[in-house]
Amino acid sequence: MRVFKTTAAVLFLVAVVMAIFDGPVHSQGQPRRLPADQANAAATRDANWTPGSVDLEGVPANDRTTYTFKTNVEPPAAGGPSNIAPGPANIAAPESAALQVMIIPDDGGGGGGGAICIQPQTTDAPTGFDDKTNGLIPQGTPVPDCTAPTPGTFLHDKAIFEEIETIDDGLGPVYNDKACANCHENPVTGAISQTVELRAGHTIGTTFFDAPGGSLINQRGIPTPNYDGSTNKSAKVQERVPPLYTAGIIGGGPAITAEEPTRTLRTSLNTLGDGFVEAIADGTLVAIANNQPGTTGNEVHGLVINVPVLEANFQTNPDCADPNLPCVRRVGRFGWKNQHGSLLSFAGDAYLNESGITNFLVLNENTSLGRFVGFGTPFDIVPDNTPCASSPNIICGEDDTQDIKVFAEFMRATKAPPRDPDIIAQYLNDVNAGASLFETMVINGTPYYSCSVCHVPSIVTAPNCTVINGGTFTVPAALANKIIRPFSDFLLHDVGTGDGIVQNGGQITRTKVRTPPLWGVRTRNQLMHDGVEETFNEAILRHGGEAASVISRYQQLTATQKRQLITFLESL
Amino acid sequence: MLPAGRISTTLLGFSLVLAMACQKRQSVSIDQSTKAETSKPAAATNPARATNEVAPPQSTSELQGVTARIYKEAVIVDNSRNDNFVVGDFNGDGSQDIAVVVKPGKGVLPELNSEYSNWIREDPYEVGKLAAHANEQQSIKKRKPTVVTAGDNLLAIIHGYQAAGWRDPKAMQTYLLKNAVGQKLSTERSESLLTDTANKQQLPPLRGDVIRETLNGIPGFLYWTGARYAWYPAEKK
Repeated sequence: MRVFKTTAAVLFLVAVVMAIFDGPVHSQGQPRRLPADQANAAATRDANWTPGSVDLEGVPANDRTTYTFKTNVEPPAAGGPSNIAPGPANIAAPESAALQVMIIPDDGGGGGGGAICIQPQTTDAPTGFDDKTNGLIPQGTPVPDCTAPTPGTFLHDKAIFEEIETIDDGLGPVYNDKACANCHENPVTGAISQTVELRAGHTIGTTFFDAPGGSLINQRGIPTPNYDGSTNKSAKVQERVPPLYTAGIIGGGPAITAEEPTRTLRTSLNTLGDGFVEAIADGTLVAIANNQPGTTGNEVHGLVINVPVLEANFQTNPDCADPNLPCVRRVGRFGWKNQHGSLLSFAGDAYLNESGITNFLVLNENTSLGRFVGFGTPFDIVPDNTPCASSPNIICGEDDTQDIKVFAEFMRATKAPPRDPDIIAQYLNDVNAGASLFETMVINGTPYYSCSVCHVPSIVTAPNCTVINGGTFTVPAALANKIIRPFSDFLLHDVGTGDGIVQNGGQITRTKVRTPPLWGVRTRNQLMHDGVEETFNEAILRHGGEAASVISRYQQLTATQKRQLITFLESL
Repeated sequence: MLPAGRISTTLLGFSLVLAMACQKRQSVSIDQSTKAETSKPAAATNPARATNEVAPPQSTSELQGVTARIYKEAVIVDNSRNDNFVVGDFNGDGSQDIAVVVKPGKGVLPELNSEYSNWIREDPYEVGKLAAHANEQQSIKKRKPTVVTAGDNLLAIIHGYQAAGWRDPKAMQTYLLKNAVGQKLSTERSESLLTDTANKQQLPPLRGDVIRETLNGIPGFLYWTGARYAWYPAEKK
C-alpha cells in the first residue's frame, strides 16, 4: 500500500509540474479541468501578426488601394448651403465600370477552386436602419404568429436572432442576456445597446491573470434549487467580482478570497454591417497597420493579431487548445479585443458566454467563478453532448439546431449603419468642416494627420469568391467589392484607455482595445469601451497614448471647430 | 511522441487512480472534483510597475508654464501654498503625472465650464461616494456635471506622456478636480499603501500612485479608476 501511495504522489507531482509549465494562464482558484473557451481566457502567448502567419486573402501587406485615410466630403443637396466643394469619392471604383471576371485558382482550399466568378462593380455597401437584407439572402416574409421561423431569409433569421432562450433551451446557468437582440437592438435588431459586460482579473507585473473561470463575470444566473429539496429557488450560481466568501455553497470548497482588482465594463457592440467587415481581406488590415507608422511619424501603430477560426479547427483542434496541432488563424476584427476573425466564431463564442448555450464550436459550459455548474449538477438540465440534428456526427451541445449558423447568416445579411441624410443636409457646412478636421488638422498653417488614421473612413471588401476564414467561407457577390465606411481600422491600439484585460491575443494586448467603428455612433449616449463618457468632447479628451498628438491638436482647435467635428460625429 | 499536455493529463489521471485505489471509501459529491482552492489575496495593484522618474518643477514659473500649456489663462497656480503640486504616476501608465493646485482665472468661468473645454471637469468626492458601490464604473455614470465657480480651489492633474512625463509638450490630457484640495497635499506609491494598510481588501482597486489629502477633515486619497479620479476616505467614521 505504501508503494502505491508513494508512486501516486510522485506521478501526481510530475503531472502537476508539467501542467504548470505547459498550460495557459489561470487564476489561482481555477480548476484546470474546466477550461474557459479560448476567447474568454488569457492567452500566454502573444498572437501578433508576422509575415506568413495568416493567409492575406489576396491583398498584399503593403497595399494602399483597398482603404483610405481620407474622409468623404458630402456633396451639397440641390440648392444647399455648402461652401465646400464636394470631394471625389476617395476610393474610386478601380476600372470597374464593366463587370470583371475572376478565375479562382484551384488551391484545394474548398473555396470553389477553378470556378469563374463574376465580379460585381465596386460600389458603396448598402446602409440602413430599415430591417432589410443587404442582398445576401432573400428578405422573406414575416414569421406568422405561432409559427417557428425557418432559417434562410432575413426576416426569419432576424426572428431567430431575437428569440428568447429558456432554461430548457440551455440558457445559463450563468449568462448575460436571454437573446442576441437584447444586447443588439438600438435602433434596430443587430445594432447596439446600453448593456454592458463585466470583466475582471488581476495583474502582477505586466501580466494579467483571469478571475476564476475566465475574465468574464456574467451578470445573471438562472434560479437554482436549494439542497433541502424545498421548492423554493435560490441564486447560487450568481457570479460576482471576488472575493466570494460563500463559494463553498457549490461543490463544498473553501472561500474564494483572492481579489480581482483589474476590472472593466464593455459596452455591447454593433453587429450591423459585420458581414462586410468579415469580408475585408486579412491583407487589407495588415496593410493599414503597416502604413500607420509611416503616416504618423511612428506614433500610431495598430496591432494585428491572429486568432483561431473556430469553425476551421473544431474537428481537429477545438479551441486550438493543443499547441502541437495545426491551428487555422485569421486576423481578428470582432470584439473589443479583436478576439475573433469570423462571424461564426463570434456567434459561437457569444452564444456560450452571453447566453450560456454550448454549441458545436464551444462545448465547455461556463463555470460560476471556476466552479463547475454544468450538466450533471443540479444547476443545468441540458446536456452538452447532444449531436447536431442535421449532422449526427457532430456534437452540438445545447444548440442542436445550430442556431449560431443562423446568427452568423443574419449578421452577414445586415446592411451597414447609415449616416443621417437629414443631419447632413441641414448641417452640411459643419458636417463637411468636421469631416475635414477628422482627416486633417491644420495647426499654424501646417497640416497634420488626424482621427481618420485609426478611424479609417473607407475600406473595400475582398472580391467575389475570395476564400476567407481559413477556407470555410467564400465571399459572396453581395458582400464583395463593397466600399464600407466604418471609421475604424479594426486594429488594437493603446490610447491610454486599455482596460488591462487579456483575452486570446496574449499579454501584448493588455493595454489595447480595438478602434471602435464609429458608423452608427450617434445611436450611443455612453461612449468608449466602458460607456463612462457621456459627451463626444469628453470621449475625445480621454484618448491618450498613440492618440496623444491628435488630441493635443484637437485641444488647439477653436470652439467652433470642435463643434464642427462633433457635428460630423453626430452625423455618423 | 505525445505532447506534454497529454502526458501530464495521463500521469495525472494515473496517479489519481492509484490514489483513489488507496482510499477505503469513495464519496463523490456532485462537485467535489471541482472545488475552488483557497486563494491568496492578489496584489491590488501592479508591484512591478516602473515609472520614468522626472525631476520636479524647478520654479513657480515652470509650474505656471505647465498649466498654461493646456489651460492658458483659465487657471492660475495657487502660489499661496508651499505644497501646490505633487508628482507621481497617478494613472499607472509608466509616465510621471503632475497635480497642481490652481484657482480659476479672472473672468474665465464660461471658458472653464465650456462644453468644448480641453479638460474633463469632475468632483472626485462625488465619484468616490458612488464608487463605494460594487459596480464602480457603472456608478460613475450617474454623476452630475461638475461646474466650477469663482473662488474654487481646484486640482489640475496633467497626465504625462512617455519618458518625459508631464514635461512633454504632448502631455495634454488633464482632469480638473473640484472639491479635491484640502489641507495637505502629498503623494504615495500604491505599493506602500498596500504594505501599510492593515485591511487591504477595503482598498479600492489601485492602478497607480495616490494623492493623499484631507477633505472635510477626513484623511484619504484620490485615485485613478481607469476613467476618473475618485476620492477614498481612508479613515471611515
